[in-house]
Amino acid sequence: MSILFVLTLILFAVSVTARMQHRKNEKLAESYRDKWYPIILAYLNKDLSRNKVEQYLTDDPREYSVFEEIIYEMMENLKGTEVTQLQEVLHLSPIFDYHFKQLQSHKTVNLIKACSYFSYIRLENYKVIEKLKSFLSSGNSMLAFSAASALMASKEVEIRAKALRAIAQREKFSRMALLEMIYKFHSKQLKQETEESQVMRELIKDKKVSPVSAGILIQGAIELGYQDLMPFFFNKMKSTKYRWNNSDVLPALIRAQGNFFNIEATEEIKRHINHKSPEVRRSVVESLGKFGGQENLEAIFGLLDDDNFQVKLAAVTALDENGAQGEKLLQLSYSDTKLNIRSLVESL
Amino acid sequence: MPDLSIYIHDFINLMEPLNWFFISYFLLVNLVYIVLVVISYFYIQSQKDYFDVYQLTGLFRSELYKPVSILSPAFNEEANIIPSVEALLQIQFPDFEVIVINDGSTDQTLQKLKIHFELFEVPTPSHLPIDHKPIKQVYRSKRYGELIVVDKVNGRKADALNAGINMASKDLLCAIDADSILDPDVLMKLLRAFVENEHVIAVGGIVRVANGCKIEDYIVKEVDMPDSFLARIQSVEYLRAFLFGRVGWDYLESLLIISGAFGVFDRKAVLEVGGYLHDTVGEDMELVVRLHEHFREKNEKYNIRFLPEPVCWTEVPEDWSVLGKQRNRWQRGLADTLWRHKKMLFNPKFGRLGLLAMPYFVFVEMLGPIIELVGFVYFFLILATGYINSTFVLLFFTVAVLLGMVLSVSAVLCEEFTYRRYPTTGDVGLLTLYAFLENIGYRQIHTWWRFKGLIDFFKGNKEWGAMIRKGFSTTGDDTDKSSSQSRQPSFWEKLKPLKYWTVIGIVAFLIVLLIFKVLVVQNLIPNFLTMLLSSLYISKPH
Repeated sequence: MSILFVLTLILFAVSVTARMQHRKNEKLAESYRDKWYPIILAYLNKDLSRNKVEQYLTDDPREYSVFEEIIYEMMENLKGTEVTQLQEVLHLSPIFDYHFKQLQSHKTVNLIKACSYFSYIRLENYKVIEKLKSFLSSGNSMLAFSAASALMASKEVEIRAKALRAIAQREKFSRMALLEMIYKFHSKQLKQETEESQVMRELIKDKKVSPVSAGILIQGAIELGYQDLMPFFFNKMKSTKYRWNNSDVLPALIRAQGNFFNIEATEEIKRHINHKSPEVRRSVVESLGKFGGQENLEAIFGLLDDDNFQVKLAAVTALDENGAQGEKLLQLSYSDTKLNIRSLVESL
Repeated sequence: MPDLSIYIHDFINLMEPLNWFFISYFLLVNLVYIVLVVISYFYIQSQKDYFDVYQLTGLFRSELYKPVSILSPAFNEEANIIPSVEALLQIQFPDFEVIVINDGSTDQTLQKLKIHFELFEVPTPSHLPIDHKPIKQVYRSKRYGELIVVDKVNGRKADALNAGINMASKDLLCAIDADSILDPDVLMKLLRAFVENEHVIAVGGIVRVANGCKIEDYIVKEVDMPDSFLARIQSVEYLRAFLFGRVGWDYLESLLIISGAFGVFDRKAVLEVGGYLHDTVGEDMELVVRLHEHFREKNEKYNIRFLPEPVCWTEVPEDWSVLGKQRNRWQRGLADTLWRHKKMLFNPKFGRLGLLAMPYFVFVEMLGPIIELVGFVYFFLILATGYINSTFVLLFFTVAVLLGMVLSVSAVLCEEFTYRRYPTTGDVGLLTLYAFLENIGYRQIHTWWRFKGLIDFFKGNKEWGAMIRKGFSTTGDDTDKSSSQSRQPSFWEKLKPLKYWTVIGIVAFLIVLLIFKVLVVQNLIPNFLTMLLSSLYISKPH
């Protein structure tokens, strides 16, 4: 009984001590923030050199973390040369060395923190890159994802491709995680669209990448506008092999035709209008809707009584978005009250 | 009139053979909690560090991330409906819609919505996959494109949520109570669970007590401890339930409850199981258990998660009888759900769920109040009759009361090491104090409410019970009297809580007496009582 009394008191004392320690840390962090904001602003205004900034750093890791937080926050809100300036100052030797040491840690949390740091700087150090690459196959999916995110800071497409491949080949990640990585893979500044689309093509073909992930990669390629992949997508859409003709990949291939406005693919797309998968039928409707034209709209009209509500809704939307031609067909469908098309149109 | 002491002694004699049963039961239950405490502490720490990994930047530029429909059922919520909906519309998330379901309110809820949000009528969709009471009219707002208001015939919360599900057009559904206050970044934090794992179909977040907090525009600006005894006790209760219970079960992949005040579900999964059940008072738990059952039976990969970081704030009752009704309803809901899904109990087909979670919930959460109530009554009767030095009394006190205190204090410690939402050291002290006090009287009253709930369940009572709330002020004060509270309570109504305070007083007295006796027996303090009596005896003239 007395042991439990004492234990309770100890727990309370630990709570209070933890709170006091936290307060102390907060005050320290506040003082670091007060110190660093003006220094960084002076650096951005070019009143202070990078070397001068380095002289202000102590060897306290807590100071590094406050310093990094300020830089990350500024990077989110600034653009252009200022971001490059901030990237450079983030690269200061004491901070870099500290995180480089973290990369050797046995604790996953430390490794993830190090990955987070390297995702913000110019990734050029060979040893760091090799270390990050080794994490891509880690059993801890969060570490693998962090390492891949960090590798996306590299200028070399090949390195970024390796990271993307590692994520695409792992079943554990969600579609959203893969899509996030596809967006990180693409670099607006570096203008490497040709090389990037080449990588995407190889990944989509890679048999180690599941059809679900292949479908996401195609969707990502469409959203990022890798137009030169269009013939490849068209070819694969015509293929009868399972790799391309399944309910995960085929809808993405069909949508690619619509999004890249490949009218040549019209007949090929129509071939799938009665496909057993509702997702394929929906993608057909969406693509034909993008092409427009009387014949295509009439084909869509035929899907207004589709058993699947999403296909039916897509058909209504496609006709509604096609001006007078679509409107005419919608009017026709109103006479069949069972279809309830009017209420669908009104709710759009 | 028969002598009451005879009955008491008969009862004590009858219970005596069960001494070790009671001690073992409380010990076992608390050991389970201790295991959950340890698991939760380490799990929260790792989750806290790991989740920062998903700093999503590119995803929201894509069409493929999962947007959210927030479903907010409202019944007679005229006092708070405008600020609460305004706050929902300010949530930080790139693509979401807010669906307010006016569940046949008899007050001005709908009128206020119509005027403030400039609602206009739109046709009711024809394709409604889930059944519910008829929809009278659907509205959209001229001011906010993402707001939909559904006016329907009253059918209680589950029915209203089903109407909302039918109207929802997004991939994820976020079901909340009309008076829930969400932190603005709550959806971003919850989405991480869906990013981490493709097979997540439901995620619950932590529910915290909003009483006492500074609330502006229906957003919690400053966290503070509530003023009332009951709300403070519930602050500790909520911390324990969420930081230990839910986190621990989440780690064991056997989470059976996602709070009705705040949970996000995959729309397809919910449609697949047919939405919420109408004829239960525990629709939130029932849906989660049904999702488990459905996907296990189909042998499909799925995950139901709890994340302790995204916060939903709720106003807890500060009135004894309202709280009693709420806990009674929760117990009935729990019992009803477990009864409906009894085939999962000890069924190896359901893995840990059938062999661990279901037995725990049936024997500890559902039937536990019977054992606990009899155990506590027996214990306090022994104390009252003076058998203070028996082994049973000391052991029972240790495992049932002291261990409970340790666990509650551990919850405070866990909060302190992780999220630290209560800002001052004084708050930590108060939380610890109430972690102690919770076990002296309140816990026994709570056991009684749960016991009564179980009896009501067996009687077939499916009443919801009125939940009178004070309501949140939007001007900065923490509370504001709503219309439902405008009537002044009568003198007799004011006296009602007296019975609860009497119980607390008696329990506290008996426990202090026990501790005093133990300390005297151990010669740690002098026996003041005997000294006092003997001095009185000496000074008395012969």
